[in-house]
Order: sequence, then C-alpha cells, then structure tokens
Amino acid sequence: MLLWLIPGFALPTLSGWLLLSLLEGRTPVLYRNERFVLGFLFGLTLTMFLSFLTHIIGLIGFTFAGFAAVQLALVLSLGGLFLWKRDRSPLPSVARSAKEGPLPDWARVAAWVLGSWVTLKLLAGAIILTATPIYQDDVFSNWNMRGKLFFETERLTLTMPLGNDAFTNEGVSSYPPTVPMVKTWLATLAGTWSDSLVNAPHLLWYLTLLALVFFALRRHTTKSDALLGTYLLASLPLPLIHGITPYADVFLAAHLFAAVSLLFTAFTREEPRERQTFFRLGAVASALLIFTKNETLLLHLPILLLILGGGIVWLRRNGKLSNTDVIATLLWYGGTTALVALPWIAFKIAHDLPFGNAKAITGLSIAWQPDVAWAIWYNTFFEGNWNLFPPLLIGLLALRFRRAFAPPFLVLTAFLLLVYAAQLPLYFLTGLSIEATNQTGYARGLVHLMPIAVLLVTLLLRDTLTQCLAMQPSSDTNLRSASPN
Amino acid sequence: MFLLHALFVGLAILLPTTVAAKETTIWSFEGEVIPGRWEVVRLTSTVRSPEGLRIETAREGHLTRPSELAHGIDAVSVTFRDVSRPTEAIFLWHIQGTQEGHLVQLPFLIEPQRDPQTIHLNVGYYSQWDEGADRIGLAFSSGAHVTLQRVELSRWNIPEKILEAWKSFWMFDEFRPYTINFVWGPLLATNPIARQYLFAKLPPQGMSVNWVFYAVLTLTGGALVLLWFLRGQGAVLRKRYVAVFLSVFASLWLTYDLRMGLEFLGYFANDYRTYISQQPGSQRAFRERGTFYDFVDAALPHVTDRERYIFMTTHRWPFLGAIRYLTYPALPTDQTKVLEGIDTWVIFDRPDIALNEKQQLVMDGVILSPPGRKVLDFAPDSFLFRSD
Repeated sequence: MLLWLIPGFALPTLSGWLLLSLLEGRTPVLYRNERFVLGFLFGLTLTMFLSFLTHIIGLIGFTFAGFAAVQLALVLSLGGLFLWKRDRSPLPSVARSAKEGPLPDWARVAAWVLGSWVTLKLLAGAIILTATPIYQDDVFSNWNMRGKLFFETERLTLTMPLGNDAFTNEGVSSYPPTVPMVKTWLATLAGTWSDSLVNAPHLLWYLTLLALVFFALRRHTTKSDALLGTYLLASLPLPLIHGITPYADVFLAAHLFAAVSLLFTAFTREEPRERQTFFRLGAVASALLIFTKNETLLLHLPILLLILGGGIVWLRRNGKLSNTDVIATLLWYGGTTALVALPWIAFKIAHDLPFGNAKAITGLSIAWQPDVAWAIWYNTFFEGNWNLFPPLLIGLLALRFRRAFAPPFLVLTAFLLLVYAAQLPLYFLTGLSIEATNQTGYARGLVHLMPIAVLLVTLLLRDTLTQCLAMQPSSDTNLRSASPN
Repeated sequence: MFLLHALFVGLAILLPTTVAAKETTIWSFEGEVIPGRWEVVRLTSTVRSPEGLRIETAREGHLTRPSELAHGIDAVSVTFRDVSRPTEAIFLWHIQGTQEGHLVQLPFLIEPQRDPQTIHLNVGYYSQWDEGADRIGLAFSSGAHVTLQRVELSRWNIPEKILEAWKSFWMFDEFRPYTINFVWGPLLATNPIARQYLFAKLPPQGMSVNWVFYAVLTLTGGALVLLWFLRGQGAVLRKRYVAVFLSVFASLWLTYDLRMGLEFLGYFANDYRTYISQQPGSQRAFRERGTFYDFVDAALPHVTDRERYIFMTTHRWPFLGAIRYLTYPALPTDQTKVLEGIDTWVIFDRPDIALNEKQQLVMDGVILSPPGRKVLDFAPDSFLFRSD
C-alpha cells in the first residue's frame, strides 16, 4: 500500500523541482538534493492549492481524474516554461559548498553513532505511524477525518459529522485543507482509504524538515556543524513525536522554516543576484505557508513581512539593495502572498469560516489568567519536550547578544522572539489560556519554531567557538562579512 | 592521587548513612495488642480482632495517635482487608507547631476486596508533609466497613534515595493521548513507593531531572568562572574552560537524548508486543483503548451498508469520535434514534447491556430495542446487535 506514495508524490515533486529551477533561473543557489527535497515540499502544497482553486470554481472534483489533471497541467506548464528557458540560457546547475577536508575521525565516529541512533528512532516511529490505529484526537476529528470526508464525498465538504446526528461547519473546517487533500489524493490513487498510506506523508515531512535544516546550515557553516544542528533537532523529543503522528504541525514547521531560513539567507548574501534569488524563493515559501495552518496567516506571516520590511530598509540604507531590487522584492512577496491569501481569505469569508486556530479570535474576552505563567515555565524548562534546548538558546542569546541582535542573525532572533511574544497575551489574557494550562497548544507553537531556533543556536554556537577557541571560522564568507562584529 | 583522596572522602561521608539503612515503624493491629494510644472520634464501631481492627461507621470519623517516632517518614503504607464497598478514606497528620486539632488531609480510595490490600502513600511528595508530624491518623467516610491490619511508616537513607533516583531516571512513561502535547521527561523519585507509582498517577509524583541538570551546569559554569578569575585569563585557559563546559553540556544532552530515545523506543516495543505482533482479530489490546480497534474492524462489515447505527460505550471520548472516523460514511448515533428505524446496535465494553429471553436488548432492566439477534459476538460485553 505504501508504494502508492511513489506515484502519488512524483508529479507534485517534479512540479516543485521545476518551480524552484525556474525561480533560481541563471543563479542557482540550492544544492541538488535540497532542490529535490524542497521541491517535494513546495510541489505538494502548490499542487493542492491549485486543486483547491480549480475545485472551488467548479472545474474538478476531488477524484483521481481531478487531482491528476491539475498535476499534469502544472507539470506541463512548468516543464514547458523550463524547456523554453533552457533553450535561451544554460541549464541551471547547483550551488556547491565551500571545499573542506574530510571530517576528522572522531567526528566521523560521532556522526555514525548519532546517525544510527536517530535512524533507529525513525524506523521505530515509522512503524508506529503506519502499523498502529489512529489514536490522537485531531487525527480522527480533523486531519484524517476531513481527508476521508473529501474522499467519500469527492468534494471540499465543510460540514463535519460529529456523531449522534450532530453536524458543524465551525471549528476544524476553517483550517486550510492541504493536509487532508494530500490524504484524499493518495486514497483516490490507491482506490481505497488506508490509514497506513494516508499517515505516511507525515514522516516524510519530518524527514524533509531535518534535511532542510541540514542544507540551510550547510550553506552557512561546515558539514560537521550542519550535522550537529540536524542532530540537535532530531534529538528533541516532542518534534520527533510530531514527526510520527498525523498532525499538521511538522508540515507547518517545514514551510515556516523554509520561508524564514530563505529570507535569512537572502540577508547574508553579498552578491545581488544570489540575494534576489533567495528573496524570490522566500517569497514563494511565505505564500505557500498561508495554506498550511490557520496560525500562519495571523501570526507568522505578518511578523515575517515586518522583518522583511525592516531588512529591506537596512539593506537599502547600506547601499546593498538598488531601488529596482527593492521593488522586485516587494512585488515578489506581495504578489505571491496575494495569490494565495486572497482566494483563501475570500473563501473563508464566503463560507463564514473563523479566523484563528480553529477557534475564532474575535469575541474573546480579556481577563488575567492565573496559572499560565507556571504552566509555561514548567513546560518550557522542566518537561522532557525539548531536552536542554531552552537554556542553550537563552544562554547563547545572552552570551552572543551583540551578534544575535544584529543583522543578519536578527532576522532569526526577531522572528523567534516576536512570534513567541505575540502568543503570550492570548495565553495570559484570554480564554485560550487553557491551551497553556492544559498544555494542549503551547508546546505545539514551539514545535513550529524549533527548527528556526536550532538554526540560530547552531550558528551562534559556531560563532562562540570561533571566538572563544579561535577555531576555523564559518565557511560562509557572506555571513561573516555581513555581520558587524 | 586526587581520585584516591576523593574516594576516601566519599566513603567517609557515605559510610555512616549506609550503615543506617531503611528505617520502618510498623503499627500492627493483628493480634491482641493495639499499637499505641489511639484516639477514636465519631466512628460508630471499632472492634479488635485477630485479623485487625474492624471499623464500621455510619458517620464520618477518624482515629489518630501521637507519632512518637525515632525517625522521619518518607512514605506510608496502610493495609486493609474485608472491605465490603468502595470506601473513601483520608490519611491525616498534624504539623508540629500548628494549631492543635488542625490536621492535614490526604484522601485515598479503598477498593472492595476480601483479601488484604496495601495502599501506599508517597507523603514525602507533598509540600504540606511534615517529616516530624507529631500526630498521625486515618479518617473514614460514612458507611465504611473495613478491617485495618497495619500501618507502616518508612524512611530511606541518602544512598538508598540516590539509588532510587537513579532507577527512576530510567523509568519510562507510555504513549498516551497527551503525548502529542507534552512528555513528562525523566523524573526523580527517592523511594521505591514513589518510583512504583511514578507514571501510574497523573500528574506524576516526581521531581524533574532538569533541576539536577541545571544545577550541574550552574555549578560547572560557576566553578569555571571562579577559576577564570583566580588562575588568570590566558587564551589557553579560556579554551580549556570553554571545552570543559561544553563537554559537560554535551554529556548531559546525550544522556537526556538516550533517556528520551529509550522511552520513545519503549513506545514502539510496547505497541509491537501488545498489538503489531498479535494476530488481527485476536482481540489485541492497543494502549489504554483495549480491544476497541479490533472490535471496530470486526464490526465494519456489518455497519458499512447502513447510513446510521446506534453506538453505546462507556465514555463518549475518545470512542465516539474514533468510531465515527473509522466507519464513515456510516455514522454513529445514540439510542434515542431507535424510533427512527435504525436497526443496528454497536455495543462496546458495556457489561450492563445484554439480551433478555425475548432477544431484546436490556440495560438495568429497561428494554432498549425490539427483538433481534447478535450478528457479531466479539466479547460478552462487546457485540453487534440487529433488530428484526
């Protein structure tokens, strides 16, 4: 049954690969494997978004023919464009890392031991994910349920059966339908609903996230640092559990990481064409982010765009960005974001779907919520969710304060702190406090941010070691030259 | 030389406490002698017997005595027998220096059971606990019929506590509904009773090991900063200090990862042993949901040709949502819809529902359905019924 994943993801991945190649144009910035991995992530989401659009205007149903038609059309369009471009300019090659010698023996041994350990856990997790029944509430109440609903009705059904003859249009129907649609597509392909099959993509999204963190780090630092950062993320218990559970938080985290890390990289590039390429990639990542979960539209995207705006002003003042570049960047972000956000927002308004994380944020009464501070304190620092990551992050932010709060690291630091801070009033002052006190939502918000935090921590750690131990500096000359101290 | 010195110092510190191992005081009510001076308040009847103190009371009451112990108390074990009904009881203690008669209460439940049953109370976990409590007792709710056999008050020494803490560090939680939101992580319990019930009761009664790890990091960092000021600030020393701190941090991280990774593999091992490796349809138990999923698998062929079916079980969550998903597009509804012509009843884990001689479903003497037949007899309390 799991073999259906191969044909299921072939065309979307090819679409994503073609899209990335076109976005890179004559300035390839992605690694060969990174383009494949990112192509898988973006291609699937883009395919589902286009399927959503063509469905709501009545062109297709959620059938095999409907999904396949969209995927074929997308591949043919992007492929045609790619071939046309290729005839006019050389094939896009791939970015290459700075040359570095082989890993020292101790690092090779450590990489093998820790890599085997992580692989063992992933294998166990893969079996749990695909060979045990659905278990968690949001699986049978939201993600899988909606996928099955679409599969059975062959349409984007918003009316959810609750059981006992009760139905609702509110709640989880307000979430973007991407993850359920992926499940629907796989089921239509296989011809039947199989929990093993429709759950499997979640592990692939987790692996995608690990790979993206590796590639993002590899761009800025050594291979051993990139492996270290990837291990740090893989050793965080709660994200791992999300990696083997059919929830959408890792799916969101992968898109969020792509959007933020590509934006961050854009600010580290000295070469204008490279910078603009990263801006284009970041713009598409930010746009697709909207179609993952509700909180992206209200929380992540506004802060991302705020940082983008601040960064553009900073680059312009430093003479690194021409007026043309500024306009191009704003058009890319504005255009791609609008292309996804406007239809989705219009659809939500048309169907009276709430904004907010399944619960409407309008109408929340304001009152101080006791016990939240303790719940957050304990969850962050004294449970097993994050290993020793929170003190590591805070310690490095304090130790390398001037680096962490200056460009380009400021992109990561500001994003993390602003997103974190923006959630706190909801917990401290509204009825959403139960998400913190009952521990049902707070940590999931951190799961979204953890990959970005790992990127920041690994780079700051390298920076600290370089400073304190006078070790070999980062392989990324752009990162060094763009930093003031 | 340094190691030898450290070994001697360590032995000198640990030896006296090792000699004085676990201390236990037992107040046994079996036999002729009542242990100590007990003050009985409002209990209807307390009768001495060879099996213990027989307590029967029509109203809430308690019995207490001065503790008069030569040692502190970490845990209390109370043994009862001949318990005829579920009984609410309370462990009581008086904090030294507080108002006379003001007793702190720790409630617990005694299950109905003829044979002896021991209830362990990890009193040391509670911040209100006073190791030197000068009065101790037990309270019983009205209607209690129990025989109190013995009260055991125990204290463990430092090495024993350290050993228990080490063992509890390697105790793992199971995969539960809350695991998607948080994991407790490694916890420290300092006596066998606390360790035994570490993840059995929620929230777990243990101290987060993060406290210890943070203390180690703080002490290491503090010592290195001190050395930095005392022994100079050269580049070589700086490298050494940073290397030491990072090594300590890395060791703690790897230990933590090993601990949590083993817990994760434990989830898999448990699922594999109890579910994956078992034959489908063999009534496999899956986590705390028991045979629910095998039951639904067996029921599926009988409900997929129906738009709706009546579903009855013990708890609405998670079973209603889960079966709705698993059988969709067939949807579960409640028994009030029987009048709408629904003929299929899915009964899970309901020993109180059975068929009477007229082949009708009956619950507590109330007829639920028209006559029919069982189309799936999964277990005595779990079956599928179809009315004629």
